[in-house]
Amino acid sequence: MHRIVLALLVLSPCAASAQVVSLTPEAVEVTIYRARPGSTADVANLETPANGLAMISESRTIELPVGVSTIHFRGVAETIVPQSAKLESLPGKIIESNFDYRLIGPGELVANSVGKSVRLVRTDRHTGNVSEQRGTLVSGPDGVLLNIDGRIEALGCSGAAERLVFDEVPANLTADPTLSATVNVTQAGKHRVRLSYLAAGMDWSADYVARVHPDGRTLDLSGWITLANKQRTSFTDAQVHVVAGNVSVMEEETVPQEIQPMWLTSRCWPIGSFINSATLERKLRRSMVYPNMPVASAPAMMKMELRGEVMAKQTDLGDYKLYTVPSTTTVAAKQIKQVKMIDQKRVPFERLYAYRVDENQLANQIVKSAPTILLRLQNQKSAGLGVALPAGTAAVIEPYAKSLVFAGEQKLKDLPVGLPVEIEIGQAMDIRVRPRAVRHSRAGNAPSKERIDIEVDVANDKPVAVVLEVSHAIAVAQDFRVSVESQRHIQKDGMPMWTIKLKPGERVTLSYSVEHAG
Amino acid sequence: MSEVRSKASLIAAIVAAIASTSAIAADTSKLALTIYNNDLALVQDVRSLDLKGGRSRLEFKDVSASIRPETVALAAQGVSIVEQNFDFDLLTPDKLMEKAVGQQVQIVRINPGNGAQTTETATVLSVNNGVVLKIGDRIEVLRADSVPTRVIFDKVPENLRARPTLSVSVDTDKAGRRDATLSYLTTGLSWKADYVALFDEKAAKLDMQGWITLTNNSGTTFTNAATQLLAGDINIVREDENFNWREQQRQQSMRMAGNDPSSKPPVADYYVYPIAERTTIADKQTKQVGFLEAKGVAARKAYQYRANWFATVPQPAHANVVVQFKNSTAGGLGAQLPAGVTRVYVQDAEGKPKFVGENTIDHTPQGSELSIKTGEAFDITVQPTLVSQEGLSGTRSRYTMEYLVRNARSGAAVVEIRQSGLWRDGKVISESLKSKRVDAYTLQWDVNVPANGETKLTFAVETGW
Repeated sequence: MHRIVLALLVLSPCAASAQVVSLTPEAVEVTIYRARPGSTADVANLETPANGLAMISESRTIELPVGVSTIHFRGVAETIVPQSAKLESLPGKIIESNFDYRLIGPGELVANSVGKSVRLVRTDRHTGNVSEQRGTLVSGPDGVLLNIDGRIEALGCSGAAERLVFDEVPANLTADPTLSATVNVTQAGKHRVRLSYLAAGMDWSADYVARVHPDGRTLDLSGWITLANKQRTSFTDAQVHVVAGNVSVMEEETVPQEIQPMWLTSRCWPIGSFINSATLERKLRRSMVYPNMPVASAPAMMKMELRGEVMAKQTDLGDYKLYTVPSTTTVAAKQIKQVKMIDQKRVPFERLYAYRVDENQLANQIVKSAPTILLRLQNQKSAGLGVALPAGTAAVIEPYAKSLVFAGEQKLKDLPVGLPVEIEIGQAMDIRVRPRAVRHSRAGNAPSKERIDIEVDVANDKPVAVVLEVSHAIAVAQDFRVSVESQRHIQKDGMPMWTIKLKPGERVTLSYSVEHAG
Repeated sequence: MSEVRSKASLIAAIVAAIASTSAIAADTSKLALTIYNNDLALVQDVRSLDLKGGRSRLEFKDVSASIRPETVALAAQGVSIVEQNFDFDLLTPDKLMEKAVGQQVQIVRINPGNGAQTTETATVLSVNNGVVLKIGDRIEVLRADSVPTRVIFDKVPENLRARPTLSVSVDTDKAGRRDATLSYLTTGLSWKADYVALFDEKAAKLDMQGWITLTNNSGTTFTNAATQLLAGDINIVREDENFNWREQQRQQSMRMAGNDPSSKPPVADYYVYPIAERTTIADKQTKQVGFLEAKGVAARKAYQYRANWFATVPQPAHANVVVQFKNSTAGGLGAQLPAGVTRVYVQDAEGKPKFVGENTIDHTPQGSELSIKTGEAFDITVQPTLVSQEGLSGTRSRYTMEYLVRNARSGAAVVEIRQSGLWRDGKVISESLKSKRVDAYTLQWDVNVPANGETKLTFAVETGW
């Protein structure tokens, strides 16, 4: 059931079609997709570009006559990706849609008034008298020439105070980005339509704080969404969502239209000659007729808003996780907003220590002695958690004496329910590990097979019992096997691993041999 | 010979078509555009011109500001070209002054003390690091004293233009009105296809809309142009190399003279999409025109994981999510699809469409199968472990792999695991699930994973290398 619509476009969009302007949406929904798990420092920095993408879905009511109309949707996001726009719930056909974004600026004003009648206003610097002449704009904005009563004069080259006055803003210039759609409807009346599109300049990230209880066995895990609107369009009273998961985005294709402002220049003839006129000329060429023209947007003002009481609700969106801010909120231009997404109390965890033996380091004798501190949480409902954890940085806060200390932080990847959560927070104190190769020999009769006998001395000087996981990084995989060992290993993340339980003050030596091709 | 005839008949057809419409004023034009994917367009501009017999100079205003002047050709009956010029000499104050050398201008001095204005007639002697004027018997430099001085010019010189203008000197056999076709290549115009696919997983169907997105950054508005779009990767030599579009056009004409009965006549190895009605493409505009609408296309979602080699991945990796459908009439689609980005939407809990990812599709003929990766599944992970790698002989190895596939979703899932890396005489020694041999180098397992569960796939293969 497919149709080729091209053949149906029988109406010229230029032919006297009704022009309908929709100024603002009545309701707007903003769904932010992260490009890749980023750091909150980058997301919250308004000076750096946002890598993420947002889907903006606007509800607008428009009144249309039967037949062909052109609807101008004003106030869409300035970073709209026009080719992603989608218009729904219209009882008719969309003939074409156009995205026009030519903001009113001095250069655009002149360029779009060439051939039109304008006023040249001169102010006498001595007497203050103002005189006005009507003329036709002959050329611009790269050097402005006027035809006044059949004679040609340049603007801004005389040194006198002179300015242009326009009668109106040319019709094709808008104060805000506008998407227009030419449609042919079969039913007159008010229609509530949905306009959705992708827009750049937005991003979000996740952060976690794990507060360890004094019992040392449970922690409170809170998760925060930081969302950033780095573009200049605000979304008022918007329903806001963020999406966790790796969404495929074509970064080369899904980009907003590049808007190059037109510059109004004077392009005068060389002026004077008794000073270095070459420099002067260059200076003048670059000088603008209107010295007050804003060159760039005002410095970004950082507005940070914290919404702690409300919690974003998580649902599934296809194969991603969708977090919805429960009530509508205004996502202002150049704003950072934070919303809580996870608040789990008393999550049991295991504190353990991990150490990785590396053959190259053994040979070069650059081994470290401290194992890594690891907090391991079972992400299951039965284990007190069981929530999807979008990639982000997890910071751990521990009680120490009667105060709290920041114990370290680590980046987490996207973690579905069921995968263990492991937070490495730093190097342990008072647990020492000393691995060494005691013998390196040929394995059996095979000419290229080697055997390394390894001993790992471990010591626990803590006043509590600890669990240490020692694993062996496989440098050469060919024919790798553990041939002899003082205790049984298991396979974890592709590496053999030995779990050693140490009482306070206990010293143990783990010995094992590995064989592999040389 | 036939090629010449076909070209002549084509021109005749165009002329006839124009003649039959109505009498056209001298400056109105009939524009035809062929827009290519890669920042290039062929402009054919048919203008009705009233020509004098013998030598005359024709001016074409409103040609593209991004014209490639070396590609310009003018064709009209009984007209031969003497020379053609493209005037980039745009009308600016400094250019105007340069062209006024040797001519008279009026200067108006404004006395900064009392505001009194004195008007004098001056001759411009030179414009060279300053404007040197001869006023009566005095020689002065314009505004050397910084006193405000206006300069008034009598007229705009002929060859200075507010817009890029092409001028052609022609020799005409006899006076009279005729159509002239001006053709040239221009940059700044391009198009691409964009698709919107609304995917309904439960119904295993998708609705697909195709949009053509035109962008115009040429600096010129093309008004009321008959537009066709050409899909395909044509070779374009950029920079200094001259692109011989005439040759290109000759080949096209030849192909068009063929007897292909298809409604979309293929031009060489390209797809051509004509836009039925004339359209205006404004400068700096992005325009979208629909070209395809298909409803209820049979489609399915699949989870995929591809491993190109036998290796351990220490952290679980997310499986890819792909939407698969066939571009066939039977499947509900069946159209030549030009390359473009397909954006996939699903309906959320409230029935509103939500973006779930996008990917590019290549130029796709009918009958092809499409597989669009929309992203990675949050809840489905695959963790490959190389359990062992044993050397069997000098050039043969046995690999034992384990894939732990986890599913945190509330429904069961099938994950397609593809293992490449097999080479000479690659064979399966043992496997926990039955594999499919995709090709000599690749095996595939469809791994069923229960809801909130995991499945371990293990296998051993032997291969030479």
